[in-house]
Amino acid sequence: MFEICAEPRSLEGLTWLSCYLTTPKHAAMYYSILTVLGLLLAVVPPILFLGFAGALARRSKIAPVRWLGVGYTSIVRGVPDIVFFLFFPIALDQAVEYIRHKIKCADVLEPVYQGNDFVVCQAAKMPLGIADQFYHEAWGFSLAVITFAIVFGAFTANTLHGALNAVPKGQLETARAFGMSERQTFWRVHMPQMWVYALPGLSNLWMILIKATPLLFLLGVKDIVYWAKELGGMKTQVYTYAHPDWRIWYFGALLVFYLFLTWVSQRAFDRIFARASRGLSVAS
Amino acid sequence: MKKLLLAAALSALATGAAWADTVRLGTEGAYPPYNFINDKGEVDGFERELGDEICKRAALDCTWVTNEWDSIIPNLVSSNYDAIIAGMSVTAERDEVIDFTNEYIPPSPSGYVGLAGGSVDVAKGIIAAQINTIQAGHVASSGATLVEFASPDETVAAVKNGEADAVLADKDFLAPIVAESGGMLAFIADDVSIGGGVALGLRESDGELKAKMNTAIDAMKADGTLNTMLVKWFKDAAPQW
Amino acid sequence: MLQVLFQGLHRNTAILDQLLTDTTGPAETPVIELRNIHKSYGDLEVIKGVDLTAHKGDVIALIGSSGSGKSTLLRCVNLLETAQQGDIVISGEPVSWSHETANRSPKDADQVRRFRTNLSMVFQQFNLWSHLSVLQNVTEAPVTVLGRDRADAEAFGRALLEKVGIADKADMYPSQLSGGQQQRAAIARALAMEPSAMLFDEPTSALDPETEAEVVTVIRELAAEGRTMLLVTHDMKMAREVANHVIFLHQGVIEEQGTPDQVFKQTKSTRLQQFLSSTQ
Repeated sequence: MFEICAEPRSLEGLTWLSCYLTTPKHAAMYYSILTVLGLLLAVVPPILFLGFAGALARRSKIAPVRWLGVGYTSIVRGVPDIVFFLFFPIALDQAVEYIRHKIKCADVLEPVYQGNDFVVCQAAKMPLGIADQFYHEAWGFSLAVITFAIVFGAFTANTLHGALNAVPKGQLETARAFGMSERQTFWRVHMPQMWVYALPGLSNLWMILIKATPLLFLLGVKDIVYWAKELGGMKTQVYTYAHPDWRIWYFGALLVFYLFLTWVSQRAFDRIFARASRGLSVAS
Repeated sequence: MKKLLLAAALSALATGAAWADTVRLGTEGAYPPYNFINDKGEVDGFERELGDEICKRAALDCTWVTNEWDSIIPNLVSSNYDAIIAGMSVTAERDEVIDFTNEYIPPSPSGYVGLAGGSVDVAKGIIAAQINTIQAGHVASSGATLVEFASPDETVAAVKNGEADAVLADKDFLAPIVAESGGMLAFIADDVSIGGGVALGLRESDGELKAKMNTAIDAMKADGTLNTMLVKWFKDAAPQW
Repeated sequence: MLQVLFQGLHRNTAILDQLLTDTTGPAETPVIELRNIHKSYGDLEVIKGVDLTAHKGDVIALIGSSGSGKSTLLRCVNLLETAQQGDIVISGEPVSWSHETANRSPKDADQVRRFRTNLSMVFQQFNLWSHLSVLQNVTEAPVTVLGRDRADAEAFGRALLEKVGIADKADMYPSQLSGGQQQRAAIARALAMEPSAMLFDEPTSALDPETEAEVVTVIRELAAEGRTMLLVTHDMKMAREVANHVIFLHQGVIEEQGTPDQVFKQTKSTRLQQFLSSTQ
């Protein structure tokens, strides 16, 4: 990166360290912080959407919709995360490619499933085999967002369902007694009061989500934990910058990073909670 | 006439799995000197050089991707990349799921590494090995207690911090680590020969790619390029054809 | 009584007519009319054919022991509960039902909402919306349901809070208020709808004796203003003071009714006698 770093093996002390910490490989780790933060921000809207959809489905008066809601939350919550993360993205990836194969390569006669192999035509690949590596990573990132959204959406649905039930019935009955429609009752009274019951659970889920981001690696997206592990491991002379096992330093930095992230989150949640619980006696 | 042939060849290719343009090579990137991520953040090592040479000779346009070892076969099978080139030994078990090219490293021994000066019975102690490797299989059947790790690096670390008595891995991988350990680590038992040589893993449906790569590998064996490459990366202990 | 008095005097018939009107009820449409109301929960029948008529300006107290069905009857009036049988007529307009069977329900959601805005309810547990300030509680339904202008609703709301004596609490949250203050805020909220009748469901039962007096004072003032009210209560003193008609419910039927004097002083049924002696 710098002039002085041209001959790493001749460097010592702080110069060596500053060159070492600015290698492109380290830059990849710093970049992966953005990947993690980007994932956290990208998954929130779909998680809340699925959470509300699931919670409202479970409250539906229409039985099949209710079953769908209960089925979604129970199945996803019942399956261990790691199994879900291993299985679902591959299934989704294959489903997308299978559909594209059927549309774009209708003339191909060979079956898609050949023994163990899943083979679609080149035009059906997602992304195309010739696409830049960036698109492969973007696709992996998208799969990750969808998978995280489905998993955490189910937990969120459960939290919101519980919170909606926790609002005292008298509050809703009063709204109806004053002539509010079901819709007005929901938006004017039920929703605003629900948050205070939902927020502790949602803040827990957010913390779990932060800690679950290393699962990204299972989806082929290199996150900060992957890089810390990779960079921290012992490096023999085959590497330009050889060093012994430094994982403890890298994991220490990770610890600080995640603690900082959770600390900021906690402060943010405290503020939101204070606002949502204005006037509610549960706050005290 | 030429054009017609070309068109026929293209359509044949299009229906097969291998597209002449791009072949995605999947590796682990954590097994020096076979394959690793260098300080520039690129895939490097013996297999990088080998893979690039094979692609050049077979006129394939190749790109490199890394994937963790544990799911390296499932991701090949579901076509996330087209070949595994990750120090993978040929075994009958793997051969049932995927196909292998001709070997590019002859069967070479595995070694036990423990703390220098310690006395460990490798048939009874706690032995570290990477998950889903031939070495892990060997330890499991040897009567010793197997502890598995996701990455090669962790297996060595386990020995250093006392979690395991010894690690069993490819000797080529362990040799530089022992040499640079400053006397802390040593080979502590006789080498063992497990499994076949090392080859590229391909999907079973990918016969065309297999043929092209075999041609390239055979040519490299014949003209000595492969031996030169092995010596460059594995030094004195380099296995030869 | 008045009738007898004035009949004997044969004075100005216009005055006589007016006074007669006040006691025997005018020819105008009743605000609330219940005919033969039945309500059961499963096999348990809690109301067994009750008739009730409230004209404009009537204050009707519903008394009776717990489980006599008086609160349920009140909730049937604004359709929070569905009476399985009988007619409910609000200002001359009968509730339209989906079908005339035991599991009937109101057919017209718009009608239900219209009736409810016209019959404001005051609950035992106040039920102020906890996420809204006192003033917001008062303006919420006028603005969102009746579509009133917010500024007008706030001005009116502040005037109502002034009227019930808690103008200084307008911007506080319900949880910061005492029970009596909360119930007065709830009464202001009900008044803000400018209803044709108010339904009180045990408005003083959750209050301690000191704050209870504040609320009774407010209710007494409302009665004096000539507001139409149905008042379910345990408080016999309040019932006697504010009501012009008292209904004693026992096991889902009207055991005895009449003016406060008739009910409390010239008690006929032994059950009412027992009930009254038990509440003293």
